[in-house]
Amino acid sequence: MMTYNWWARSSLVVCVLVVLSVAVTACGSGSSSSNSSTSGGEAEGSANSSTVSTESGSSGGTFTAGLADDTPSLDPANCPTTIYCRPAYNALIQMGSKGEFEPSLATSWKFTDAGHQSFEVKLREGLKFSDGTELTGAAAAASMISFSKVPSVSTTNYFPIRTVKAAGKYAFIIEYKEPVTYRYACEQISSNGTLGRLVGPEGVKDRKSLEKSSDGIGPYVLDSSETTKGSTYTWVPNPDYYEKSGIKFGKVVFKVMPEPASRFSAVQSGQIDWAQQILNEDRSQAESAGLQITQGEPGSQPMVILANRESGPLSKLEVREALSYALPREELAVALYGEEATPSSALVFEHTEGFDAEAAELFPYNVEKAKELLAKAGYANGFTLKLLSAGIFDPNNSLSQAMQASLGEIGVKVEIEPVAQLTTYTEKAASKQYDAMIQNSGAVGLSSLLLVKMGPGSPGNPWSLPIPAEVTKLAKEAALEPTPEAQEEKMEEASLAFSKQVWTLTVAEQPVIQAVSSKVGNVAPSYLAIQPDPFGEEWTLSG
Amino acid sequence: MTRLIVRRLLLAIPLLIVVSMLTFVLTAVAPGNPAAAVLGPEASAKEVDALSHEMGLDEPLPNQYMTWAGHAVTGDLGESLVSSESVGEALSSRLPVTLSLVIGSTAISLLFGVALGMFSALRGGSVGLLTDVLAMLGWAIPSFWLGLMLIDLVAVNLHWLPATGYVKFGESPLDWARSLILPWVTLAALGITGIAKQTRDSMREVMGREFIASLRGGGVPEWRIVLLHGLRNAAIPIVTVTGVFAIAMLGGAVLVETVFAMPGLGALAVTSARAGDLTMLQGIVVVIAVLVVIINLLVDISYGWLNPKARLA
Repeated sequence: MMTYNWWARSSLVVCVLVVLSVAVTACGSGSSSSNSSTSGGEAEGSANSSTVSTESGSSGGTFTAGLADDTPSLDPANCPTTIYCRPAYNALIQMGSKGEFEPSLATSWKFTDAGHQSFEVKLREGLKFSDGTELTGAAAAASMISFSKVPSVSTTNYFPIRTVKAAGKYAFIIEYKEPVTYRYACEQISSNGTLGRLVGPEGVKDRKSLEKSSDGIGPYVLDSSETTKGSTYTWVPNPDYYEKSGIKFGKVVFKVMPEPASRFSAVQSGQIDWAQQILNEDRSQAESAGLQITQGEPGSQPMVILANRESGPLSKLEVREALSYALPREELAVALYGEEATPSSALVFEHTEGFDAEAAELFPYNVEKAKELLAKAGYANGFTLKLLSAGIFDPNNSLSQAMQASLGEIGVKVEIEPVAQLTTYTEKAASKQYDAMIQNSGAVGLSSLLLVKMGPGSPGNPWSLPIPAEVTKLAKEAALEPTPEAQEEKMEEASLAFSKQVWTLTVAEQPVIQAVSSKVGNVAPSYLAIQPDPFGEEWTLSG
Repeated sequence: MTRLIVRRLLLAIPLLIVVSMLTFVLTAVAPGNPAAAVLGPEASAKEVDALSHEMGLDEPLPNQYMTWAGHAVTGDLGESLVSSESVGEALSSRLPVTLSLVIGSTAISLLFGVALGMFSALRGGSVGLLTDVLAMLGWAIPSFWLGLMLIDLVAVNLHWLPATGYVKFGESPLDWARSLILPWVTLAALGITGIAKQTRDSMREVMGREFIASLRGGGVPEWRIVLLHGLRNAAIPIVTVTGVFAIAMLGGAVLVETVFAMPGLGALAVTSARAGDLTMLQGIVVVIAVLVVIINLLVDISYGWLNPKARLA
């Protein structure tokens, strides 16, 4: 064995040398390496590359965000994760963190008719798109009409609109198919969505060109030389931006990081400045690590749509009410979404259009009452409910399983059909094979629910059942009220009436949590949207 | 040797055709309509049908395949169904990331695996046992867990290396290496232990043969016996196992690239599968199949180099 000693030692030495060389490489740049390097680590590297253009008014530094989802496109018409079009496309109306509507590309807006179907928007004068053309009423109308022709998730936003037409050089009018509320009309073209993010005439002519160069009016423009689709998106200050003080960063970099743990690690290590949508369980660790937490209000959460109301058990109101009474919401809210979740049985959530506090507490947990209602409807022995659950709306099928357990207590047997992909889900949802399905509420208000999400023919309503007449009547009356306050009051009545029909089973609303580096300033503790708006809220970067 | 290479390359052609056909059929018959993915959950069935027609998804499957294959042979792999991005461009921008990851991990696996295996074979006893234990751990520890632990320790707590991301070699070779160290280690863990175990077994078997004793009796220096005779004779199974692990690492890249947010083929495969982007998936599978062919070819060439008789086989 002695003859092998030399080799044994040599092998060991090789191992040690390799380990040392790796360690040396690792330590080569010392502690400063935490911010350096990677394409995701521009925090420091970017500080060098992000030479601040004083002309553009930017205050410097690279703002790097780790985002949960990629975008199918950089065209605002096909940009469901709106954050991707925020740097280069200001919306017509800016929605503040408290829900207030503020001028942006538009200076004023109002209904021009008593029927509230004609909404006039006056534009700021002297603005230019990135393609050099002027923002006019005609250009704005062309952009919005073009929006409706792009096959995308966002196209549905255009459904309630009949047409858009210019009204003078710097104004245009949106004509709706039916009366809408002031709040809905404003929200549609606000920074909370994509419809109001206008594209210049060149971009409208060739929408594919928007993947390579942005053509909007915003503080930044896309830098395609430093953009790799699906991975890294880079924006640099827009030299022609009308409000130089609105440019807060020398460069904006979005990194696609689908894994929540990766985003959280990256923001903790200082590699990124904002980790979009971290897990609730990471909240306390984030706070103890000195990160800022900001959260969306209303929250988001999946809800069960009781779809098969045409025939069978779910066609009876007593049965739907029974299912709602059978849910121990307090318990489920904590178990499913954590301490921050708020139990609610309302169809729409707090801070959205039509929220009524009474609706949130319509069906307190009461198993006995649930059983009584089932018996009254002729289902004393329960029934089988086929539930379609997509992973994207119900991660790990946790809500489905909670439903299965809770409804099992009143004799309702829930058969879960889990599907992984959205494509499969959409097909199955439309097949009328499932009594109920899980979807995300999307934190939308009542108008959106009635006009788009639950409208006849939508996957939220595969049997194309009409919205209850009482609700439709109240919503229409609301839209015709003269003031936004009166409209809201009436929408609350409509929402309460709709919640009483139990088209959906909701459990709780859960805030979407964001972790932001302590280097970022101006971060409000909460905002009235699903996602924060770093550019609209004018986040800044220090250090 | 040239004949060997040419023959292997010719054999690869039907393999690629079969792989592409299988992928095409499997992805096409899988439930779900890509048009529905584009339009989202609020689109009506009518709209989905219209877009399906526009995308050519209502054509008979053989027609769809022939159209795709006709373009593919000219290097045009089509456009992403979801984003309209050129599949060729997407793959070419991501291939270097996956290659950097897999080649680096394979090299680390080989270097450490052979060194550890030799050390174990030559020392035996408790060191051999340790190798077995390490091999077992390497097999048992899931790579995503190891990756997350390394990120937490090395990037978040020690701040030695970046937690996520990838730097192009052309931008900064040092930062390129730094961005890859943790992914390399994560992906190589399995390879190191597997190759070490194979090396130990092969070396022990070869070093016990008579010709080794004869060489020692002839006074040949021990380093020559081990390196030129022992390792060379033990190398063929080691090379085979290395090839197998290199191919396995192509699969492992899916998880590692996701955990480390690296823009490689694996991460692209995950997002494309989620979105039902069939053309992108098809392109990825073809590229992976080509890489597997190349790895097998390299293994065959190594056989020929290590054992001249194999060149004639």
